[in-house]
Amino acid sequence: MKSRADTIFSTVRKNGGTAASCSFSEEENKEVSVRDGEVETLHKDDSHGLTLRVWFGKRVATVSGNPRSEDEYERLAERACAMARANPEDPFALLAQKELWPEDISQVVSFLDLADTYSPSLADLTEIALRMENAGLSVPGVSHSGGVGVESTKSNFALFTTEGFEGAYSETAYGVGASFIAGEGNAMSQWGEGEGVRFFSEFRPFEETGKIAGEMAVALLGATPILSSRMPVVFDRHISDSILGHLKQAITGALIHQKSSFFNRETLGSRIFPFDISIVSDPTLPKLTGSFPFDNEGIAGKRIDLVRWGVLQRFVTNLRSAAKLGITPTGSLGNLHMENGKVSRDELIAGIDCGLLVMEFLGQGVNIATGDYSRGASGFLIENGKITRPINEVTIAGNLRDMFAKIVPANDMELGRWNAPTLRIDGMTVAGK
Amino acid sequence: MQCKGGSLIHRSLYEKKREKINARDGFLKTLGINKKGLKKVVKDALSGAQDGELFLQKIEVSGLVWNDGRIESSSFFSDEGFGLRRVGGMLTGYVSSDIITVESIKQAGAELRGVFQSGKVYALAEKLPPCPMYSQEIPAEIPIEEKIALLEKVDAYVRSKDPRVTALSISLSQAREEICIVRADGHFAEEFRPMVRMNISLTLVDGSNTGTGFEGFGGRENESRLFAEWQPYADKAIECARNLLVAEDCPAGEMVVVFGPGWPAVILHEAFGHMLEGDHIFKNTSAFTGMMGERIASEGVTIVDEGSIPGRRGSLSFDDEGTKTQRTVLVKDGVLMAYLHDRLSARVLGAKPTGNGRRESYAHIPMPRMTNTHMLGGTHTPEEIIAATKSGLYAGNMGGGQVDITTGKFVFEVLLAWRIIDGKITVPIKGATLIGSGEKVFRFVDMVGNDPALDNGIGACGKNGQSVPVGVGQPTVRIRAGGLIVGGTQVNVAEEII
Repeated sequence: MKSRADTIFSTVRKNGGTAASCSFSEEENKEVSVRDGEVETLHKDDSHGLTLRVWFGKRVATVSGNPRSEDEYERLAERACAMARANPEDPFALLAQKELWPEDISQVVSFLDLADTYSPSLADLTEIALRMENAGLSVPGVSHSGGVGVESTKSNFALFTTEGFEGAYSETAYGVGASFIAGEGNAMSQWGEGEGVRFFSEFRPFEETGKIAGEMAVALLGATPILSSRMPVVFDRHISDSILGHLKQAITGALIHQKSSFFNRETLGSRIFPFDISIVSDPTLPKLTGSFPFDNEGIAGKRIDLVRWGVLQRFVTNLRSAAKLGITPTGSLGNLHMENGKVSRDELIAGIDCGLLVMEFLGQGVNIATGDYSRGASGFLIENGKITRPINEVTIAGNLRDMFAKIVPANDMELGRWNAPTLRIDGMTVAGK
Repeated sequence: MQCKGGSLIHRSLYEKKREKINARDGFLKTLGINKKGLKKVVKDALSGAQDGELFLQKIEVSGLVWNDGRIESSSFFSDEGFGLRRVGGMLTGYVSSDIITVESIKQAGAELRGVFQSGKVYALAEKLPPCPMYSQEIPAEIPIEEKIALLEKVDAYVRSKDPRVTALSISLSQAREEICIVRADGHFAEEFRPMVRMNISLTLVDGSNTGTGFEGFGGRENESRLFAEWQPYADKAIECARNLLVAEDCPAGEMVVVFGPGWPAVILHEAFGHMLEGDHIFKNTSAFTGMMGERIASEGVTIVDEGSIPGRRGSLSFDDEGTKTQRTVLVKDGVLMAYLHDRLSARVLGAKPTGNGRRESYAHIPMPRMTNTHMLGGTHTPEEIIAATKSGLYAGNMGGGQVDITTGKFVFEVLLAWRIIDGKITVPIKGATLIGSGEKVFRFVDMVGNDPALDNGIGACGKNGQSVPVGVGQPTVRIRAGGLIVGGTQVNVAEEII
């Protein structure tokens, strides 16, 4: 890789380029899906790619592809040069300088421990899928399988820049997903349960995942809408991390800079959540799926407090948006999570006379420019502190700014598996019949 | 933009003859083999298989993103590879790789042969269309300087129309794709697939109010179209943002909803079309399983899927399994007439493939997907429909949506809506979502307009993690009360649950 990068860089220089960064990726993927006890698909995919960014002073362009021969590498590099030369100057297109890199890349890579050694065959994956499916189909009330899939991915990533950055790492990812259907005809319910890990041994028992998926499908059978009302809404762990996603988007440097977020530069340092909410990105934790030594720009992965005790600490920035805002970049986020609160999930629900427990969303009705929030939801009704019956065909609505300010967290966050605890937000509009 | 029963929109495209495609030898050159040799390789690789094919793809996408008055990204992406698929019974084995060599295809064949045994060969006598659905001439690249000049012009135009613009992003993209499909029986389909696209999005800020606007257009055409036709789309994006700047919160509850023509048919695609895809039918995960010949929509509702409209975003000459595309009448006057099939679902259900076997790329297994799905026009003028509505919501521009195929429940975001009061369109409304059931909603259609239109060419459909370009269309359509629930932030009912 190193010598290939050097060849590319010399082609760039020969064509008049002043700086460049290039990244290589390789991926091997295996995937199996089964349905009703039969294998449905077996899929094996190999791919590799190159992304090259070239500077002519402040003019810049990016090309990517999957070249095979020296000749093709050279042609791609020449194309990047021709494109960069033709572009106008861009003062915000930057290369990461040394102070942003990890201090000792190979030590960080070995500390993070990102790759498992286990390489399952298609037959191994098939066996797991069939076991999961069997467990789900044996749940009373499950009428059929919606498909069960298992997948295994091995990948390598390497980044080189003309500033002298050299880094590479390998990683693994394994995933399972099981979907089951309860009921028949136009009274059916479906639930999918998935899990993703970096180390194969970290999967919970496959039968358990299958069983949970089957049980949830049955529990949701016979769901009905409710009348429109304002009520407390509880976000289950299956979907509560979506709140982290909305926060991340709303504090993204590019949106702040172009005033397209409901937050603005003045929000920094102000209270946006209750005191007991802290939100942290930490890609430096060994073995977790969201960990990485450096991002695509070469910025070191580091722990960042985005929200501490309810107060916004940082905007999320890459080199470009940080330059626009005149601040230090955070780089990419990893393992973004909300710290646990003090009460249990049961206690959180017990305090609600009438509310909605949301298990699943349908649709994306979130406007980051205004904070307006309106999403289709299904889950369960909470009456007198107890979960009573399944609900669907409702929307929950509010404004993210108000919602953030009212969040009450439970204490069931498990980093790497459920990155936000169950959350309660009072006074949301639930629209049904 | 009119879509009258599939009338030819770009008739000139039909003048391009097939010889042009066959004259290219891109993949054969890469493989260092002639056509006969390639057919032999595929025949051997898939020997004993019931069905399957070799899918070869080469794609180049160039893109420019303009933001804050300058180029933010200038990019070029190229990808090539093959997928070899072996099908036996209900089982699909697939090996894909981005290394196109005869050796790697042979190796893929060997790997798949070891995986499973197969049944009787699935063979159909079929023809390719006499003329492709889009130009087969690979367009010359327009110099980047000209594109930048265009972006500058659009930027200046939008800002001159409204000084309250705080953010303005414009993007141009052009994809040039070559496809070659070879089946074990020697069926050989090859073509060039162009695609262009322009997006304009902006934010207006006035005091404490913010309005966002978005508009895009494109299709399987030449980039010169973007240069010629951008202005009305820029106007629409500005108009959308201006309306949202002053829009009121959305009332919540059950109400009459009138959909505008064109893009609002995204609901037809998501909530209805997906339930008619053959895989959902044979897997018994669609509420429309076993309902052939039964009424599933109101009288007067006729819905077709039509891959064979020249030049549209969802159009294809043949699908990604090499089957010729066609006009499939899914629902005629409210009655279910057909499902959409790829070769596998057609074989399993004893139907004919409808040219709907599509895949995102060579690294993906094909499945039944829509192409251009649209509702045909009815008898009412749009004005009549509004005038006949005492109270309701006019959904003029839709955002994204999602459907749970199994339950048919769906949710859609309405980008820009209007209150209808006493037969008149009144104030703009923001933040509306529509929720309902795909199995039920088109039974509540009570007025169909005479203004059918296809969308501007912006749809991307996701299914099982695969994204493919699609088109949608419809006339003005009214859904009577009971068909849809509007989710919003204004609640005017008692704050209690019954």
